[in-house]
Amino acid sequence: MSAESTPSSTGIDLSGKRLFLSWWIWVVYSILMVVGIPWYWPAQYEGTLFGLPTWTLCSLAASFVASCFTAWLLMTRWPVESVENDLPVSEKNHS
Amino acid sequence: MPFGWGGITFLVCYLIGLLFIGWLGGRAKKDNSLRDFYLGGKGVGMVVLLLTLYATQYSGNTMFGFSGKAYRVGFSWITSVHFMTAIIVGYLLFAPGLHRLSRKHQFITPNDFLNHRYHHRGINIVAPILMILALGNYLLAQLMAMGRALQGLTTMPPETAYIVGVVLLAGIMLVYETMGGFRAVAWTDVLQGVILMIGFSILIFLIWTQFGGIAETTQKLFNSSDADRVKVLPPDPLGSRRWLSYILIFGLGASLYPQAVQRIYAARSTKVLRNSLIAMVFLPLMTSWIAVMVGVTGAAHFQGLDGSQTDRILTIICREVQQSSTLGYWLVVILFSAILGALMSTADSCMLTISSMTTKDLYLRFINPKATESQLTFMGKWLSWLVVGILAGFAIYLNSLSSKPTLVKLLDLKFDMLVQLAPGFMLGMHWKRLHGTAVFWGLITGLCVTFGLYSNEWIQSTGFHHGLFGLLANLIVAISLSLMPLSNKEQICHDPKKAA
Repeated sequence: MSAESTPSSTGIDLSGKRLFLSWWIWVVYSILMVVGIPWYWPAQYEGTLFGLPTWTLCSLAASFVASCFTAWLLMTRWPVESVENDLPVSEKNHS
Repeated sequence: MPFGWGGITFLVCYLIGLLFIGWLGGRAKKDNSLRDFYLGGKGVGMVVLLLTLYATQYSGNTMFGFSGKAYRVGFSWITSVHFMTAIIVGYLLFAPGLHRLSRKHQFITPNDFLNHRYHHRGINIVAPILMILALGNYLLAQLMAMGRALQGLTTMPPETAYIVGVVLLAGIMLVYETMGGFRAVAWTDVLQGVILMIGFSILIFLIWTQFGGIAETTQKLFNSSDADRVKVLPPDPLGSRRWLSYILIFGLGASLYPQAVQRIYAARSTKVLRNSLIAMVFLPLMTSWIAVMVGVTGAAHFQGLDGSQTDRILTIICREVQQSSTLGYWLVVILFSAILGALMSTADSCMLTISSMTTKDLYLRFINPKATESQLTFMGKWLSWLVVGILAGFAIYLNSLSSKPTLVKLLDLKFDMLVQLAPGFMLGMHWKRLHGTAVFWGLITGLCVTFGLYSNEWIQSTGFHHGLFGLLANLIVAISLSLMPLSNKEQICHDPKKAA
């Protein structure tokens, strides 16, 4: 996934903003959503696990996996920029 | 559940502590600039950012609204765990770019990005008004929850206690915000966030010790009447569609909370923001899930509540615990401080953001472009008093009605509006061709569809939020107009380099 580094015709620099737009990332989220929403359980399902309805545990597990996946994406795909890049335009010009 | 002198003294000390922190925030002021007042100057570090994000996003709605909704629908309200996670996923679509641009161009309000990106007068008028209305709705819900929180605390008649709760707590918030601006709000959020975390831990403890744990609750509901038994069964197809709708509208709408966008601006560095979001993504499992367990436990043990009464289930559980032992009494006192913290930390952030958008986006841009920063800061402070005064009056009026709105209903209304800004922020961050006119007409179309269909029965039968239908229309218009070839004149309007 290449990121653009030149200012766009709209006047804003779009570099580094496509870090999370790969198709597979959103496929993973879609799968987690399909698993996490309990649409596929029988209407009168009464099974329990660890004292909770089983479908509840399944939804919570999908949520936990989604949280881990998001944390991993943030860790690995959001580069920590140098302090220079974090400075406002006015301060960069002076330095 | 009236508190004795010990409990009241603890709460008074806590509220005085908030005022003291506000005073410290005022002392730390560097200058009279808007950035210093609304974003705390050069920004905040990891601990403050995480706790201010946490205290701001988990509010009175989480404590009262989510537990009330879980009381009504049961375990299906795990939806709230999913949609609170979806908010952080939504950030992936725009937060990295927005943070970088905000540092470079010194953004203060969310509309500063839209103005920088589109330079469109229509957007500059509609977007801030839309965000102010949405936040006003949210602030109203917090003020109403403050009143309801105090109803159970004193021996005063409920109506009087409600009014005292709204006026007293809103007054304290206004004083510390006027003294210290963003610093006061963020620093008080640290205290409120810590107490909130302790409060949720106490709730888990209470559920296990006082009510026999979640297993007993589940069995009790399985053995109940059909109306309560449904609370432990998987949702029907309509419930599943509503679940999906909540994930989408929160992921796309709640991630655009104006006060949260300002916290993206306020992060001292990319690393601080990234690490805070990593921690935030796990918090729904420790907060929303606990609120669901409270609601479900209430449904099993305190049956028969109805409508907006269900938002009081947490108070009812607290009363039960408080009367059981001295330990229970003090746990409830701390829990009550956490509830106040959740309400006030969200409300003060809304208040500060409304004030910043009114002064910078509307007053400075359209009414008095020559105003100095110190004039604007002064005006922003007094605007907060005016806005909160009006909304507090409205909250008291709503409570006097025979049919009181539930907190989750107020929450839904806000997202139907906020989600219409998603194309401007999220699509605009990645797609160069999207231009201001397209975003503006998309926004107008989205709002017209959302509110035009508000009482449509077919839309309600689908289970999807009206705002999502509006967003679909919004996207179709914005993308279609952006794909159309532009005339030379329009190209110049949309290209700042050519315009220059």
